[in-house]
Amino acid sequence: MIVRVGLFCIVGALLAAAFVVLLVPEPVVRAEIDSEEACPAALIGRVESAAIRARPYLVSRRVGVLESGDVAYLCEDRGNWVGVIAPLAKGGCAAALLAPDEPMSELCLPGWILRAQVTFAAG
Amino acid sequence: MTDLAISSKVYGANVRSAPSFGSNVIGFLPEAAPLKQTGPKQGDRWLPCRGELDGMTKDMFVSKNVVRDRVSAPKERLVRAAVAEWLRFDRGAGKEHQAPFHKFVGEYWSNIGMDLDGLDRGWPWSAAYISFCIETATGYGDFKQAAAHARYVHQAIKRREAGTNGSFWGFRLSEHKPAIGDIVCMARGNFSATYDHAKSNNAFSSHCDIIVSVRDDHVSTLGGNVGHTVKRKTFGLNNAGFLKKTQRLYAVLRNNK
Repeated sequence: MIVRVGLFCIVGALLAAAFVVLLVPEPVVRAEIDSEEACPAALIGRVESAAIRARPYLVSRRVGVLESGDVAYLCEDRGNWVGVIAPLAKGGCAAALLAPDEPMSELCLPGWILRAQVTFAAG
Repeated sequence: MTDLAISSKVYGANVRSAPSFGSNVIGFLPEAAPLKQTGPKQGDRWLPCRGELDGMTKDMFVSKNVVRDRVSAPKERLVRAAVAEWLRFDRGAGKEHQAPFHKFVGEYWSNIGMDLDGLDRGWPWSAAYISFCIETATGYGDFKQAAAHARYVHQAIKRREAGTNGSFWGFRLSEHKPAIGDIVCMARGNFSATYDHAKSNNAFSSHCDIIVSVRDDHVSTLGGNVGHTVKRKTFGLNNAGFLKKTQRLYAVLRNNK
């Protein structure tokens, strides 16, 4: 009986972890320091397209795609992953990029991209 | 005649018609404005000088407390270029998204061949500002002008470590005492940057400013895209004259010109 309960708990924990990793987005932190934009620009340049994921894991849910030459804004550094904000319309996301306290509009798509898929452009 | 330049804690200095505080102020000269001392000091502080005011060469008196000896011509030109942009940005009061200031940002982008007009907010323009100042100063043809600081920081460190010629050499903070015309570099945002990382990479997030004055305990810098304008900052020096490891500084680029 105790073994069954133990197994049940382990399976439950694994399922919960999988749920978090696969589905729950991890916020991309914007932090203004010295009154500069916290998120310098990067070009998506090394691959045909780059998947934006909800969390910095390959198995995580894909929330969008950037094509080669698209611009995203690098906000966080996490090993092989970078936290980005992708503007879905030109200039539509500027306020959120410039002022971390501004709520992100529907024109901003936050997420995570493999570092190897981006080329640093400015900043 | 001694070559001097304005160096003031208040970003410029009044110049006067006679050697006293009671005399007429005939103009204001910004930081790094060139002067020539034309005679011996008068009283306890007043230096007779010749300089340019409103496009005309004039004789004037200036306090010895607001001048310094001039450094090399290329360094002076770089500092004057940085100050000129600060003045164009209304001494830091003009914001990047307002007219006419966004046009100046557009000029910075144009200088490095980027198809941006200054209204593309979200594109960090601090490296474009440095590149524009370098271009305006002239004489720095080997400098890697770019939209990202990392490009020229990497170049300067590689050159210094290889011992090859270059207008700038990159040093750790503990290796070089900062001087007028040098460039100080720091990490930015949520990104870390170190000397060793910059040595092996030319693509990372950073920020750099140009040193425009050096005091006993601090240096003053001018940088672009600081508070969304061109703005002055200060960085502390330790007792030995090296930059303190604060404010996320990681390298100083020595101006070899």
